[in-house]
Amino acid sequence: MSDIKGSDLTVLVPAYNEASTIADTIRSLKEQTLPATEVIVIDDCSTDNTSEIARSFGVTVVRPPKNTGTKAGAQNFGLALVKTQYTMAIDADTTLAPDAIEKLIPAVHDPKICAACGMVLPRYVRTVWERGRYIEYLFAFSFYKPIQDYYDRPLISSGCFSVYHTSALKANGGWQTRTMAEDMDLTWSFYHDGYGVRFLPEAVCYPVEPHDFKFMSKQLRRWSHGFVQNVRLHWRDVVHIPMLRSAIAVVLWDAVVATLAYLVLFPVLAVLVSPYFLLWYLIDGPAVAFPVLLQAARRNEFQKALASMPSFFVLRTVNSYFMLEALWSEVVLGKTLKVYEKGH
Amino acid sequence: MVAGIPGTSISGLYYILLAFLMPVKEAYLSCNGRSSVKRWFNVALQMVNAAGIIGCIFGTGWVLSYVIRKSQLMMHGQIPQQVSSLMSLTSACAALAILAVVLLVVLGMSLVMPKRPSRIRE
Repeated sequence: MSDIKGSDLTVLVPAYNEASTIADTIRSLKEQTLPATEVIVIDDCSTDNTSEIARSFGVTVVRPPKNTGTKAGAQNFGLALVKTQYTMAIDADTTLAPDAIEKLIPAVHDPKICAACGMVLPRYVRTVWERGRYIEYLFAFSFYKPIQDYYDRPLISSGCFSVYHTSALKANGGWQTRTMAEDMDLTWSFYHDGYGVRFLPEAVCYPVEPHDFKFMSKQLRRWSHGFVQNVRLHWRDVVHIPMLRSAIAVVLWDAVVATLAYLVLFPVLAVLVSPYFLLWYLIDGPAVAFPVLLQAARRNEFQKALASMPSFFVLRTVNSYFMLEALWSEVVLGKTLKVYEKGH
Repeated sequence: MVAGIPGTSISGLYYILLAFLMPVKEAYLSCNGRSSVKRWFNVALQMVNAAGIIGCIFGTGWVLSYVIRKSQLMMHGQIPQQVSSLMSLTSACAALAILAVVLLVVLGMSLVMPKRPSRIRE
């Protein structure tokens, strides 16, 4: 085990009405094999007893004079209090595997690496939305992200669980509130500044994912708008960053073309030409299933993943709608999403 | 968060191609003493993923072709000649061409657009 006093790490936990989840989050932080030097919960003027629950665990709890309106705002309020070399951000609905910090923090001991993130898996896999997200994460975090990391360009250091060099974070002005995806904004800013970012699949976190359509739609709307906003904000810079520009370009292409195909082309062709065109919704099912089931088997979760596969296609089609809506709203109508709504 | 819509269109193809390039880069790194068994394991795992995905795509295409041909034989009394295989070959070539165009466009943009200085001073 690593030296438990050697983490030199402050964990920031922004929280707004997280009374139902924050105890598990803090407990998992307390049970780390490499504990943080300090845990700061930023209670963003909750109306429930988030503060009281957090204080009962003996962690530092701070409260801004008024609600900051965004997760980034709350994180920045806490960042001003950080004195350690490293800062970790973790959502108040996210728990960590016991060795998550120990596995993640060596990545940022390299001075050229200023951010690192770990594997993300939903804590609960019950509803169709949680199951869809489970498959989406298994696919993205076992195939896309390790390849991005291999080429030194993880697309995003996930906001729900990442560690940073405090100095680089402060030099960036903390987390910017100008987009709905502050983690993507921060990651791309770091790349532009010449820093590296790492993804370590051994460090695992478990967020609570939206369990119903209402909350999932809020999250998908925020993520889709956040992606479009970040492309508009950073494209002049990221176009000069090899691998990152390619990864963003293919995501953007798919965001436009795949959404039009799912929502317009396939239904039209099915009606006008042949119902066989409806098979396109599922045709890549086995191809998606292969890396997902391989990863699930390695985690002894094969049956859970197999049972969750159909939900992936539901989530993907719904995701397509929100991506199209974000593109239409942000690019065509020029209406920028500015109100930060939590996924749950 | 995850960006975009994982598991769609040319993203998958892009990462499959990158996975198949990994052993080339790793072999280069090995020659320079910068590789390790752990890194090769990761390369092998992604190669297996990529090969498995391709196998599944071909397998799905074959099964669908078979089902469609059988159903058309039952409905119309004739089998369309090589329509399914032609479609899959055309689709694969089209996807590769689109990916190449997308990557060339962003490469072209990087060549013509001025580079803004980063905030880090070397």
